[in-house]
Amino acid sequence: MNWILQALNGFSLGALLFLLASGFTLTFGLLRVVSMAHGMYYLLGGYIGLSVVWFTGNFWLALLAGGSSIAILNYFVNRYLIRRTGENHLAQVLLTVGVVLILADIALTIWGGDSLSLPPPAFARGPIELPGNIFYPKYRFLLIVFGAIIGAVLWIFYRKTQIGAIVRAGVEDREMVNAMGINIDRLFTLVFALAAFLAGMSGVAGGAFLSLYPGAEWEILVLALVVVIVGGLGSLEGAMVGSVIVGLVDAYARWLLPEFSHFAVFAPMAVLLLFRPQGLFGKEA
Amino acid sequence: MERRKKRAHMVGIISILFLAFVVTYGASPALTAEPIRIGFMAPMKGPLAKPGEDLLNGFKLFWKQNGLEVGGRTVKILYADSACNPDTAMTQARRLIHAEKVDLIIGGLCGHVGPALAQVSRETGVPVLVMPGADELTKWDIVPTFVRLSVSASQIGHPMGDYLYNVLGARNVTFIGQDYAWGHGLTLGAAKTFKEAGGKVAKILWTPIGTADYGPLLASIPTDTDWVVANVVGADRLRLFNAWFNFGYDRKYKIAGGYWLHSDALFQLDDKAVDLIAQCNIYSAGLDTPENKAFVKAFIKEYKTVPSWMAEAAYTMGLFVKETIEALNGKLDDKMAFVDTILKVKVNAPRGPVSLDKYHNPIQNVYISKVEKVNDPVLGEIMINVPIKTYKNVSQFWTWNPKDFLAGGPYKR
Repeated sequence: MNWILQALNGFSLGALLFLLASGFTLTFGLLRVVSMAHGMYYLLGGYIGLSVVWFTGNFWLALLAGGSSIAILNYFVNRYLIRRTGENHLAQVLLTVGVVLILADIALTIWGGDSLSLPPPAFARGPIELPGNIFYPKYRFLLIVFGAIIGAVLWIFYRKTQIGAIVRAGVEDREMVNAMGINIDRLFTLVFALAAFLAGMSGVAGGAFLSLYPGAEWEILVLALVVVIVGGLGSLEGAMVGSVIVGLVDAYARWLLPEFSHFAVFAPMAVLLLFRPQGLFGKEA
Repeated sequence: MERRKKRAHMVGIISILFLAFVVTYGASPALTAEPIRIGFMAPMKGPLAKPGEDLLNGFKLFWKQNGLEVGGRTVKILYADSACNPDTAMTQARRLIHAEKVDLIIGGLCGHVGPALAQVSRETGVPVLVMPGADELTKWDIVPTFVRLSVSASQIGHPMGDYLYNVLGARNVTFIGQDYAWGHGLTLGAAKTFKEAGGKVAKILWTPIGTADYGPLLASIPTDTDWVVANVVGADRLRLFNAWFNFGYDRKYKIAGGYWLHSDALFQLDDKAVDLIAQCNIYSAGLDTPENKAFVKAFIKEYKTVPSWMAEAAYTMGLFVKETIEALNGKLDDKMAFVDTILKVKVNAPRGPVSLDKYHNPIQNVYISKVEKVNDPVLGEIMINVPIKTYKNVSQFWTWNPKDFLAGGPYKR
């Protein structure tokens, strides 16, 4: 029975990681921007969502507010900071780490250093009983469903719409897309906004699951990086498969080898990189 | 004309210098002595800024009540950020000693900062009074000028094992412990006394600090367990609490906190927390003594929150420093005399009577607390820790002979 329980745990963490990593992988692949601020977007989105829940009691509004406020914030960070770095990835890493440090201290001043838990909507509280005497938190169950829906929507957008086709073309060859008369700048802004929206929203979803506290920005960023690296830069399918793998490995490792649970996530990644440095779905550089 | 102007200038400058001299040194003959300089270190940024702030508030409250004056000298407190990082703590401690010329250093919070501060104390001879709980510092690695004023990890582990067996009637216990020095002392200390009483340890689940999700871990509790003991810190406390009830484990096992539901975590818990055994610790905010009631009332009035055990520990550090300096009549030149005196001081702290053993660690009461809902005149309806059993004057060696205990070596997994 525990095998099933752990699979559910793996899928629920995977769903959360997918929400965060799907946008992350697109910023890497399409925009070629190495943004370390993504973890902070998650945490800040969660905090903003938390305040919205405190004031209105509405979880859905919190999801929306967390996502859109981060999308707006990201617009300014991108427009006035990241764009000045051009193609210099090292400068982007340093710059975005600096942005994280500043935002983290601002968040600490506003929301304090306590570990804060975002209350899930009333209908999603408590456990549900599954066959075989398994109790499972209702919220996590719904998170899996939510993650699957977002995944499906993104996949349709990415694979079946014209904008999706342009985005994919942009990942392959940016200059060519530009030469064909498509305004790549506008496209970039759109994708970046979407990525930031997803990051902020995942913070709200994750706040009710992992709780929000200073330092969470790095913990979640590391996991999202693993997902992106395992799945392959710029690949939406890679982010889906990668987050399920990381979620499952994490859950089974915590159960079977609790002392090695941090190690267990990174070991498969190291092995994979030895044999397939571009990740599972990544394109050869 | 030129010369006269110059001379007038000279006279002006000299008279200003003279005036400045009189104002600084002459005007207040009563306070000829230099102020006592105390360096206070706590993490002020990052993940542990909140407990760091508790420490700071407890210490500030003490000096606010006592007017920054002791033994006929004024007290000047110099703050530094220990950042929960041994390197930073060392650099800051050396700065306080060499640049700021402090007479003693108080503070620290994280376990691994303790040895770093002990090292600085060893090389400079400046007394360091700390919070952190790494057991070794008051057992095998004693530094002459280093004193712990809070608690060593296993000191509150030992009574928990006794309580589990003799009061709760637990026979087969699973411990959830955190995999670092302080966690080892807590959990292995409790496991030791529990086994000596006759209990069986079903399993110890070691987890890293910052375990994001306790759901998977809880599935590995052996099914024949009767009690589960939670020894977790920081954000893990809340996450374990949520996972415990969301996964329905409350229907399968009984849980007791060895180090779990402290005051600073309570405000986020729901009613399921009420009546749970919260912690086995040196302080419980609901303690019914005049000293504690006055302290809690003053703390709530000042900071609008219930004092955590960190806040109480820092407040009591103030008490110790005051008593010691008064016994020395304000003379702090002889550092060893300071240490010898503080080892003899006894204080009636909010947490009860505290004195020090010859290994530089406190002998004090340990309280088993449970969570209760109460009405506070300022804060309204709140949850608070209330003691349900008191172990009086607990030594870091529990009931064993120190020599035998020391021969056994530190708690290591």
